Amino acid sequence: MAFGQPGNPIFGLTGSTTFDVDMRPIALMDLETSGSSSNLTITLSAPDEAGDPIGTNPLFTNSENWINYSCSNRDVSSRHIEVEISSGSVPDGFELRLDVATATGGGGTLGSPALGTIVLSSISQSIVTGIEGAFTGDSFGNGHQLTFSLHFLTGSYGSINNQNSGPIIISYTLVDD
Amino acid sequence: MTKSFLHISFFMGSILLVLTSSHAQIIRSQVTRWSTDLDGGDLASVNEAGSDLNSSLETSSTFNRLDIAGISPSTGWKITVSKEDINWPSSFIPSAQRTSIGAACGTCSGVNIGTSVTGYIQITDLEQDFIFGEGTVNNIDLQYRIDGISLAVDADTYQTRVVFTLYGDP
Repeated sequence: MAFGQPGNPIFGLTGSTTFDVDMRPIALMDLETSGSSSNLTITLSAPDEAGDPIGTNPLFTNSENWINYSCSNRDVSSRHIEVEISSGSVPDGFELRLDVATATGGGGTLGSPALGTIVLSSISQSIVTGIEGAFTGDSFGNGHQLTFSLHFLTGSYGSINNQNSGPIIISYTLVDD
Repeated sequence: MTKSFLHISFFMGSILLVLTSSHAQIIRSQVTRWSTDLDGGDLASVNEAGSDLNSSLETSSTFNRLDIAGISPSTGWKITVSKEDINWPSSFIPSAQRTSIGAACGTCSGVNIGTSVTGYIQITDLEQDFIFGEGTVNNIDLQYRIDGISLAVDADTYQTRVVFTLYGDP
C-alpha cells in the first residue's frame, strides 16, 4: 500500500486540536522545621560564678528552620523575601542575628541569600532576592536554611535586665519586584 | 429580473456545494481545543510551598475523537500527527495515543491495529505515522498528555496546534 506522502498527499486533509496551557502566577512560602516547632525559646541563665558574664557569644543558636517557596512569576520578573520583627523587640543589650544559606533542592531560578549576617529589627530587610520561576522542594532540608543567633553587646552590657523579656514575632514576606 | 437571476444562481451554487461535500474525504477532530490552567492546585502537594507542579497533564482516555469519512470501503488511508507551535516551550512534551478503534462502516476494515501505533506517541514538529486503516471510521478515541511541566518554565500562556493529516492509498 503506497500512501501519498507529505507534500503530495492524495487527500491532504487535516483536523486539529489546539493545546492551551495557561500557567498562572503562584506565590507560596512557608517555614519548615526539623524541630518540634518553628518557634524558638531562648532562656538565659545567670552565671554560676561571680564575676562571669552571662555566657559567651553566641549565647544561643538555632538552625532548625528552613524557608520553602514555590513561585511562578507572570506579571513580575522576580520576587524577594523580606524579614522583620513585626511584634515585640529584642531586649536591650542583645542582638538577634540571622544568617541565610544558599538554597538546596528544588529547581528553576532560586533566589540568592543575603550576604553576611543580618541583625533583625523592626525594619524590613531583604534576605533572599531574585526568585524567578522556582521551587525549593518541600519540608526541612530544602530551601534556605536559617540560622538564628543571640549575642550580647559588650558595650551595652549594663542595659541587660530581665524586665523587657517577652515574645518576639518575626515575619517573612514574599514580595513582588 | 436581475434580482431573480441572482437568487437562482445562489440556489444552484448551494446545491453544487452540498453535492461536492457529500463525496469529499473528511478527517474531523471532534474536540478542537484542550485548555488547562495551572495554579497552586496543580502542585504535587496542593498549595504547599516548595512543591513543583505535577510534571504531567493528561486528558481522559476518550477526550477527543477522530472521524474519517467519505472514503470507499476498499480505500486505505493513514493519519499522521504533528504540531505547529504558536508559543510552546521546548520542555513541554505533548503526546497522543489512540484508545479505541472507533466504529467502521459496515463493509470497512476500519483501523488496522497491527500497523497503527500502540501507546503514546510523542508529537513533534515533523509528521509521524499514527493510525492506519481502510474505509470510513468514526469515533476513534484519543487521549492526550503533556510531560515536562514545571515551575522552572516561565509562566505564560502556551499554545501549540496538534495536526492530524489524512493520506489516502492512491
